[in-house]
Amino acid sequence: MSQDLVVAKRYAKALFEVAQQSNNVAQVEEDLKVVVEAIGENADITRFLNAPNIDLSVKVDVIHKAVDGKLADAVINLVQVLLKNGRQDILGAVSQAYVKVAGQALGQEDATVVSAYALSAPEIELVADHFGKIVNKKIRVQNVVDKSIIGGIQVRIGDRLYDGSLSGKLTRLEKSFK
Amino acid sequence: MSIRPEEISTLIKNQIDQYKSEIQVVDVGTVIQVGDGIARVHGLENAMSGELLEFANGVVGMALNLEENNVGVVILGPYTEIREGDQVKRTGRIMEVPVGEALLGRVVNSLGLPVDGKGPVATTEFRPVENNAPGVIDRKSVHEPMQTGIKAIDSMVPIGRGQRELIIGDRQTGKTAIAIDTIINQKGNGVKCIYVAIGQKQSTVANVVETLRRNGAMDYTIVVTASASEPSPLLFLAPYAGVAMAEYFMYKGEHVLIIYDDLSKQAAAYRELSLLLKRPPGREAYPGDVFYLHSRLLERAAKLSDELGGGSITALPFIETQASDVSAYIPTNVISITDGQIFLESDLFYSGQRPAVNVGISVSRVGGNAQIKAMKKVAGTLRLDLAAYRELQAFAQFGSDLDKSTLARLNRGARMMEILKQGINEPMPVQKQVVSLFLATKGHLDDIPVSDVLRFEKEFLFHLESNQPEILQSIVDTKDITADNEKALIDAINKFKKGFNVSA
Repeated sequence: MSQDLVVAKRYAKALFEVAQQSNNVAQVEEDLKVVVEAIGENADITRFLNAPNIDLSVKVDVIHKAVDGKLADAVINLVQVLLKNGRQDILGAVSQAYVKVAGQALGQEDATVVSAYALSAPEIELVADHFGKIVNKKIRVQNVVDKSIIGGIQVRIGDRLYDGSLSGKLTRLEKSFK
Repeated sequence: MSIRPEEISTLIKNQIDQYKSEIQVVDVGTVIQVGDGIARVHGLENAMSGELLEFANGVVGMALNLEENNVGVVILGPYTEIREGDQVKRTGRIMEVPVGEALLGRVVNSLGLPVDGKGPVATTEFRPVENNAPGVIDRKSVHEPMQTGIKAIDSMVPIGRGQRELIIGDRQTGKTAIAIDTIINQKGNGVKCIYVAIGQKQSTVANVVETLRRNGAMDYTIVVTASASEPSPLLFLAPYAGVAMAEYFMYKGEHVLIIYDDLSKQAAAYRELSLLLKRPPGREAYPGDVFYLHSRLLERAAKLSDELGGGSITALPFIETQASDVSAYIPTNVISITDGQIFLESDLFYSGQRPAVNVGISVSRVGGNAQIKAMKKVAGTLRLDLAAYRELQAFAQFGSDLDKSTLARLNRGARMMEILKQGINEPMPVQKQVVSLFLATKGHLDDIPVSDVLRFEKEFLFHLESNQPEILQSIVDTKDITADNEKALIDAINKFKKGFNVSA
């Protein structure tokens, strides 16, 4: 498991460099997500790709027929390289690592914003703007609604958690009484 | 004066206006695996080695393994409530324990939390559990005696302040008794004591604490306990917590005695942790750094130079051997780290020679400088005489016809062995030890039956204390046996002998 993550990082970095050369970093990220979803959600495809008694050329052929022209070349090639190296299992990990690598290189990062109710677009923009200044990066906000935080927001960027929620404050208050 | 409601309203309004909510900023990770006292945490890429981490339910852990995509954490507390997916927070603090005078008289666990039910410990100072040992120029050679109050040890394997003396032996050979006696003997001389119990039964620890309390020794003693029921991370941590508390006193210029009872259990706990953290096993399945585990701990015992206040930590690590096998991995490691060792043997113990110190193979590499002159005089030849006696004894078992001089030496030897016997919890001040050994080595006991030797010693010391305390006092003052007090002592012995009744 941990070994796979390391391998995935290497693949993701290589893929990012290819994507950068052809100037479609964002497109590759999108397409990669599509592929992961398509393969991950369909057990039949996974089984087909993992089957040892089906020749590699057949698998490559099928992939080509299925997605040619619809996805970025870099992504199709990546899937083929992974298949050839017998690493089709790490596709999901590559996708995750790619987002990270791309984010680092382009100065953008994903933020998970937990709030008690769904935030409006201007509110999200405000949060993105504010936290973008703190971490010096462009923030892409993903809003998660969780009633249990009662009020305020929790922003998680990478490993760092900015906890301005009411529930968090109450927990801290409770702890200070102990 | 009246209070106007409007004023209060204005105040509250101002407060609401200026209210600024606090945001907590922490680094968090996610538990991906938990098992037997360790957890693997994803994320926390900036965690430091040895940093304290807090789990969602308030239990703390210590980061031990920093790997490419996860952190290996040892959990310092109950781990059954930690689940996969739980959040783990960084605290930004390196593992530390409370230190200070308020801990004296208390029983605490490896985290410095009290377990004796006497309420919280009022300390404000903390020290990191992992701390660098004093360097070369910070130290001074060992020169003051650390009296254990045990004749066999103080005479032949003397321990100095700042020394590390290993106490090694099988189970049930009186190791803990030596520790307790030594602590009791520090009463009134300002030495602080720390007893670290690692992997012991709770009942044993309770007994030790009770014995210390009964003898009035808890006033200057801290007991750090990580009993057998506790998870292995706490066992591994206990000696470091103890020495951190000791360092507080040492750097204040005071003298500390710390006892690790025992390090073989700590090594076993560390082995458990390491194997769970998937570190490669080596000899006897111990990890590669088990030597460093003990060396960095014992290296923190030191005698500081005068510029640093001249404080000291004397360490008495214990090792329990299996069937007297001292060539196992952990015993050889610790023997090579320490400045000498005291061997306790079960054969001696069961033949009634208690404390069961094997003086033939016990050594003290630095303590000789710390012995007072009087002790050196009476004990100088003791070790050689005893060695000769044992040799002769083995030889004499086969023949019945012995010449006069051989018989005399056997007699003397038997009395010397006898005088080294000592009851439990009866540590003896150095001046009395000198007198006792003087009796045996100078041949004043040769005409007393072996079975009466201990009674003679006891009664004579009592007689001396009540009738001629000036002799004992002169030994304390001059730290030597001068021609004057030697003569007085011999006179007293001869006089006392006339009135001594040999039991039938």
